[in-house]
Amino acid sequence: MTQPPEDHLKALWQGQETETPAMTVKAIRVLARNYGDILRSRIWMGLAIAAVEVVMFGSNAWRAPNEILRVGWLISLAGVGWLTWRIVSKRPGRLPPAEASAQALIGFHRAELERQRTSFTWMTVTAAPVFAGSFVVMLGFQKARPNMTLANIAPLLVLIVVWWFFAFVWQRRQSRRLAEQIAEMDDLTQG
Amino acid sequence: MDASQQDERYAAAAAELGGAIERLARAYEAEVDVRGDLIQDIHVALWRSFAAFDGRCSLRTWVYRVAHNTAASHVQKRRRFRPERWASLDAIEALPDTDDPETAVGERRALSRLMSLIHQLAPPDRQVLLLYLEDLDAAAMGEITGLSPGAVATKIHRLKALLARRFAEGRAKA
Repeated sequence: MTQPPEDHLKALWQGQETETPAMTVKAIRVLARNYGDILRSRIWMGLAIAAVEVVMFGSNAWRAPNEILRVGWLISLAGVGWLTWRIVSKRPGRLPPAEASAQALIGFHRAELERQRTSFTWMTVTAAPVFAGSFVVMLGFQKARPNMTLANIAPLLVLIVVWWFFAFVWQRRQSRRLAEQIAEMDDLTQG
Repeated sequence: MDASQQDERYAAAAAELGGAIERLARAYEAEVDVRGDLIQDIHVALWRSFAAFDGRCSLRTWVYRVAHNTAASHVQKRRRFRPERWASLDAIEALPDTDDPETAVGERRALSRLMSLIHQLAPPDRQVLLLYLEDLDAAAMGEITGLSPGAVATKIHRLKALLARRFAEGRAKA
């Protein structure tokens, strides 16, 4: 005896191979973990750069030909410490435990995104001591070489201007992306 | 309902009806990449919906209702960007079957013909056919679709006749 066609079709339809269903909780955990990993790798890269700068500025301060130059390098050194502390303070938090609810995970990830929000003022305050140190270093150079002209310090000035420009563009882009990601998290909970 | 209860309900529903959700997504979205997004959207909508689940209907009915609503809005949104030609049940019945039943051998072929028929149907008829194929009873279909029991019965009757005409002959020859 054969099945009626509709029963055969039902069996065919329901017998289709399907994959493991997507789990929202797992997806959010993966999202939060990946984001944390990206932040951590950025911080490690920042620490490596800071370590190189500490060695460079420290050695320059040690070998400085005059006191102004030495003070300049030391201010820059302190500025690197300040900058590092500001960046490390943005390190990601520990992921909620495995049994945490999806709501808790969304809340955690949203808070992390919110914590990464910065403003141009935040960046200025973070980098200001290093730039102040650079300014004193320039004064020290002028004392060491009184015949120094603007052309001699032009590369440094250009570097500073370029830094401000890219910091401004990067900050705006980052801010926009964070706002989008936060809105996505809000969509998940508010519908 | 607290957050952990919401997660538990969602996990149970996803484990039990994850396959049905994927089949439904296949019926609503032919493009594989976009279908993945639709499945994810349905799961998110489902998880969110369990915050308001009061148990007044069965879990199965609830899941299908949420899944169908999400898929229907997805189709409407996509239609704005990529207009598709849907046919009513009347129009489909009047159309000749373009697929030669003689060549319709094997289950894969039959399934692909069924899928192509489903994709041609307008969302309300598509919804009823999918629920019928998932073996839901008329009362549950009415709850999910909002159609009266009489309207559901009529649609099922016509869909069964359509399926019989399109597939019975092919099966007999296969």
